[in-house]
Amino acid sequence: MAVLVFPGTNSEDETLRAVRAVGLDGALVHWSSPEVLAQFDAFILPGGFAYEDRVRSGAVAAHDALIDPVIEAAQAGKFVLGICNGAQILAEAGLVPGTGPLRHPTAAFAPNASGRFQSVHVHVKLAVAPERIPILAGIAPGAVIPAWASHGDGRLAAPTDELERIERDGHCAFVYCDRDGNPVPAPNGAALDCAALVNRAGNVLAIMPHPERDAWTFNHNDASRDAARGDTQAMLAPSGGIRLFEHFARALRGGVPA
Amino acid sequence: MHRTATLVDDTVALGRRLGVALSAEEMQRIAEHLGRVPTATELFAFDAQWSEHCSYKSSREHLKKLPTEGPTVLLGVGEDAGIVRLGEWNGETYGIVVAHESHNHPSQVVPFEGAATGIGGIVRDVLCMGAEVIGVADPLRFGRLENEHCRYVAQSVVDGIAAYGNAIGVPNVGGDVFFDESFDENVLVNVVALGLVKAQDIIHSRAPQGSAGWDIVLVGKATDRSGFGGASFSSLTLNEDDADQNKGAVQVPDPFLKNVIMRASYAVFAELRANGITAGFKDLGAGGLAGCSAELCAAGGMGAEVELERVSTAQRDLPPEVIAIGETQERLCWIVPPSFTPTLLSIYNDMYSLPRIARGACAAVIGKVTGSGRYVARHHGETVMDVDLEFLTGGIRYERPYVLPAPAEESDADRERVSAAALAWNPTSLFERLKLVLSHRDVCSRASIYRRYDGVVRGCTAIPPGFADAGVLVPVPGAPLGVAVGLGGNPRYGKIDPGRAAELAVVEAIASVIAVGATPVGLTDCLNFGDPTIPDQMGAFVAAVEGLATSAGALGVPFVSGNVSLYNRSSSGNHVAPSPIVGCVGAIADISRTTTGTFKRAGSWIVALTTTDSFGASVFAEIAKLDARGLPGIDYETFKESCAIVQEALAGDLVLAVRDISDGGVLGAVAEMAFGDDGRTIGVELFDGFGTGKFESGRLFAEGAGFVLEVGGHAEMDAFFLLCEEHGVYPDQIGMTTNGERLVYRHNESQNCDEIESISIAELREAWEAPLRDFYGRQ
Amino acid sequence: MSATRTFAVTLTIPDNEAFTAFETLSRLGIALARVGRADIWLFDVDASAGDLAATIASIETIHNPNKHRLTERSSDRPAPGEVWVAPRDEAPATLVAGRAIAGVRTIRRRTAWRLVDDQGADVPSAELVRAVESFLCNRAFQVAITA
Repeated sequence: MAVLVFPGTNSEDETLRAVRAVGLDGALVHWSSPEVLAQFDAFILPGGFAYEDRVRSGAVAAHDALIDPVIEAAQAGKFVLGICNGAQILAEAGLVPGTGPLRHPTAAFAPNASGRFQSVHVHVKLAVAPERIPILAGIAPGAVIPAWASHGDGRLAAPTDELERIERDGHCAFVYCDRDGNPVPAPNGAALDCAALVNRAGNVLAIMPHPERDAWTFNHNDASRDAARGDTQAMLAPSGGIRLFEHFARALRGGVPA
Repeated sequence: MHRTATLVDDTVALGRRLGVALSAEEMQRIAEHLGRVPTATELFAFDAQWSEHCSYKSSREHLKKLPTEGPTVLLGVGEDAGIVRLGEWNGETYGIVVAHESHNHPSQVVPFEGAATGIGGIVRDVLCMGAEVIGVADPLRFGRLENEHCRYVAQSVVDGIAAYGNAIGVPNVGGDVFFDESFDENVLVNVVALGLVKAQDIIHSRAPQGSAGWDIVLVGKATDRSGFGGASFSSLTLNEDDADQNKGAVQVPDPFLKNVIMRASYAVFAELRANGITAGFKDLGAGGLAGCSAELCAAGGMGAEVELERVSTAQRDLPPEVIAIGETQERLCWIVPPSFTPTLLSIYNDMYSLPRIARGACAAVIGKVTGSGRYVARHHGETVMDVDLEFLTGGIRYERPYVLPAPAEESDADRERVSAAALAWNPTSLFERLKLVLSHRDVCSRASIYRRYDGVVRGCTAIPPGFADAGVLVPVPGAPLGVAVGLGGNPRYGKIDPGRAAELAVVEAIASVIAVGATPVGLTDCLNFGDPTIPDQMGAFVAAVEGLATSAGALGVPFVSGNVSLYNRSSSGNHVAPSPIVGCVGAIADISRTTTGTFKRAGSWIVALTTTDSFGASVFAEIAKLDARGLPGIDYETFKESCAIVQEALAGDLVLAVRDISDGGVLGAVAEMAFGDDGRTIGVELFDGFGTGKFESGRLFAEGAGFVLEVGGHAEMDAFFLLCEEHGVYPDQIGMTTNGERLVYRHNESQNCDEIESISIAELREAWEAPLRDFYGRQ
Repeated sequence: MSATRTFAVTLTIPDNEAFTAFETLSRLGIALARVGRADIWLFDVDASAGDLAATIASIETIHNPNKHRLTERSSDRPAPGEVWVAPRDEAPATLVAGRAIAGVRTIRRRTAWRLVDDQGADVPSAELVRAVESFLCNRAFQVAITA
């Protein structure tokens, strides 16, 4: 399990912590050593501003040498998860929704409707059937996961016919919702209120909000943290956003629960 | 005699031609010390080192009064940042690095880059202690938003902070914002930064003992002309006509490069630890390369020989004085044994490929440490600097004349008069008053600002902005240790009584970390004042330092770092409101014991501790135009007991939520506790202070040291009252939380009494959120 | 009466974005020696607009004299050899850094790219098109405008 680090990536450590918390054997792989990637069988592209988001978010990284082995692996059916900037890179690489040629994106995470970076706490809800998304093995229908939407460019945008296809063919993996799973408008103005895109085979997932930033009980600013008050172990335990990583780990174990 | 006179005249003439800010007397001292006319490079070096910014020449004498020692101090004042003890975990002692800086002048001239550069600079101060940078917090003081230029500055400063902090991946976990006309022409942009370091891994900003012959390595961005003259610029009065010219003195930040330099430096720290090597590390700030390397070597009692042509430059033919003194951003300086140099260079240049990240960026050996005690710089073999290090960095001192401000006093008669006026003021409706207070510029929601900042990157944030008075991080993965950071400093107070304002700033900062369940372990200050050559302004500064010393001394929390920003004065003669701004770091031994400042459930009691009866300089006094002349008094003993009550009540599971009482008073705090952003809707019923009159409508808005608490239930309330009794503090019951969605004011606690007033929480919330949301935009 | 005033802002310090674009385009096999980049600002103004150039030169978000050069252009269309990239669904702004500019009704922004070969000439238009389609413009949400 490799967590990729491009120049400008800033969420690699907490992503690696989440990966290890669900029992995966993960390592950081830096841009200066792309040859190391060959030995890994799954990949996470974490958040940040790869190559300073020069030209467009994710655009330069999508053409970087570090991404070549990831594209190959994705096409071979291996699991690839992109979070925030990682999601933008996967869209620029054409891996999600994956409806066009490589590196000719058909959909984009474009600048937020507000025109600004925003950091807001959100919940996202699984918007496709669980079997549509093997990268999250064992996820329940309509599962709700807490996360932080912290981005400037997270608005799903695509031509109308492409948006129809995304909706029809189940490429919109998660939508924004409230804590009870009721739909809410996307904070960034995303089309379809979409928070995540998945490819056709369901092995590549690009999610804008950060589940790894709300992945321990002490991260939760709601009643679930209050319930752990006074219980040090419970407070330091993984919970909430960690569930996304648990399903990812289960997928890597061939669908076997931990 | 004649020769000396010529020497001095020639030096002064050179200084004037070069445009340095040194006084004639200062130049005379330099010329006489050197026994010759200094070179341009030397004169610029002295200009920077002897500037107010570097030398604290007006302030140092007074800063000695601050308490700086205590059992929580791992590294006290003296280096780029102080370090306080966080706690122990797995046999290791962890420290929190605390630094505080201002970037006021640059932010007035080029607000976006000025503010961004402020973050960049403070982050280097923390990094060079060998620490991981874990958080920043920004105290901001803007001018009136009715003023077009102030609007522009207020927008651009926030955007600049966001652009830099978000890119480097350091969470912004706190901050405060005040608006005042005294900042119309002089914005204040302060920043506090925190780092995490194990006690045994601290790296010092000095050439290690016996380091003669070691390499001096410059790391970072290619040196350019930007930021030349920055140190003396920040000590000059801003003149509108010079604004364009001044822009050249503001550096160009590159957060992307900084992101990579930070990570590469962490890799260097690991290598140093693995090899048991002691190195020296310092960031380049005011005074550029010469200032930084000179201070490094002077601190270790060593000397330096630097070859300026080895410095990577962005422009060809940069003159030696620009290479030596220019303040190009994103640069740091290492002192390492030559055996380690190849590893160091390889980490920056190959593994983290700095030259690919930004043109000309790299790590390069630029000189050697010597045992001579002199700073020698050559440019293509020509000596452009050869000075005694002690003389260069020892700085100079001024004893500025000052006139202390008269402390604001309020007689009992004054208080009664103000109280009567408050009661009579229209609207008399409590909740109409509350809406006005909540929509006041200094009280209203800051969400549309802090949501532009990334408060949760690194995944260690327990309490991001908006949930409590202080931000809380859990910085050591797997450990229950928490660190809280809170701020204090109110310009409305500063204008009335700088000394008392400073005391209240300390109290407010400490109260905010107490409120989240932390123990205050260290303070950091940024003292923003006007022109120190004006006795009244200098007097305000002196009074404020004395106030800080009084308060920190009384409460037993040491200062571990700080910064002084003087000359915050516009050419039209306006000085900023005396602004002592204080940050407090709190340590949390068990993160499961922390709490936020929002109501948790219905049926709890709402209680206030140590409320004041003075309206002085409160938001309400301003709105109601009360002639309140004093500031809230501080009874340190009662405040200390109140802090102990909060801590013990949290440890004993008696309280669910805590706020400190600040702008907006008790009722402002209660309203904010009801605005929880966590999916709960909780209402409030207020009592009318059991007939004592203490909580009649006006007084609910009086500000001062104290807390509002949500106490669990009847059993907890009994235990809480016992606890208060033990500490000799009498708590005031304000009301109860309810299942409703309204704030209701009953005549007294009996359910049978007639309801007096009622308002929906949503309506209050709208009043609170609207002002800055309308300005900064909905997030 | 309204009119469009067009300003180009270029960097006087090294343009790392252009440098990175150059590296990526080279990797894509496009033969070029240099990439030029400019921020293009289009202001729809009415008769009440004063000295617009002076006003916007003082707005750091558009023009920071530490690192930018500001020039006014005579056309609101790309120059020959240049391509402008713009968002497809564009809501023109009315404020910049929270500030309204007298006489300015709307503000639009584009990125101008120019690819130069080792002779100092613009690359052939077919190559420019390839650069645009493969990298400089994301057709999912952007449009490319040429002369």
